[in-house]
Amino acid sequence: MYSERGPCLLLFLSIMFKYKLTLVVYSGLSAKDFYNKLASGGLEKRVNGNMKITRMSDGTVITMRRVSYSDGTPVVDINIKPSSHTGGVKGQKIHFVLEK
Amino acid sequence: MISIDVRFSEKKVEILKKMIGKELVKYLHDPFMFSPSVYGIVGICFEDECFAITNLTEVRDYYGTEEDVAIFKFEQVNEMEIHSFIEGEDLIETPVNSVLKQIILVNEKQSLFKGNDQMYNVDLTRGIIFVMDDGLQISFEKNVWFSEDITIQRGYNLIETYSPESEFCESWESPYNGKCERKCIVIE
Repeated sequence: MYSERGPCLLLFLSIMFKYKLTLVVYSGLSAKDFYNKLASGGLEKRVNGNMKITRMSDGTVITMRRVSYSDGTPVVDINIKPSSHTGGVKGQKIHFVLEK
Repeated sequence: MISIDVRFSEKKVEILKKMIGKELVKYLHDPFMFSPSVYGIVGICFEDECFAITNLTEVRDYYGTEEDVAIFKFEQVNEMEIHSFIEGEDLIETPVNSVLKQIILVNEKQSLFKGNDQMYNVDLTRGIIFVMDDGLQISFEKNVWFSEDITIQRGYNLIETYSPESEFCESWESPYNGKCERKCIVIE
């Protein structure tokens, strides 16, 4: 699992009882850090000021929006469909929400 | 039960039907990087008309949650309107120069159940396959529900390469269960 030091507290909560959508409690920086770690080694393109897209060498596509249209939270999408070898990993959409 | 229908409309199907027998000159897309999957838009140019296949995010009800859902669309446009959605990127052109013989619309019916009670019925277009007069197929497939990518393939029997219907079914945990039926509509 992923964790950060200092005031940043990162917890994985599987709250969407219907769909395997994971919400991550964040400090405000971890969405960007999470994306940067995940996308390391890939080729990044900038779509616009709100969105970046990175293509990994196995075909996996990782995108990050600073502000999602639905709820305004930062969101990282992992699309494994184009990947040549997913290893059984599921694609995920991960919203980063403020800890209450 | 909530029903949602985001398939290509009958009007769009009629427009597509008019392309049968016409020459598909080329298609335009972002350069491929590691896989034949591109962001957001593909341009399709026939001898006298152009279309844009887009797959862009809209806020929609995704099985009970307001989410950023990629919606697959097909619109008639001027060629000048077809451009990359990535900053500083130019689309590349792939020539075809073959007569279109048939179009296969790949639609899906996704159903969500809680126990035995159906909660949602969603009809969507998963992809479109152009079949040329020499049998070659060119396919444009929408990726997973949140991704704005479009997968482009050239070859034969391309429906066999589409993501399995089980992908939707496997995404749900008890007491919820999903079903997905795929239906290919042949336009000729």
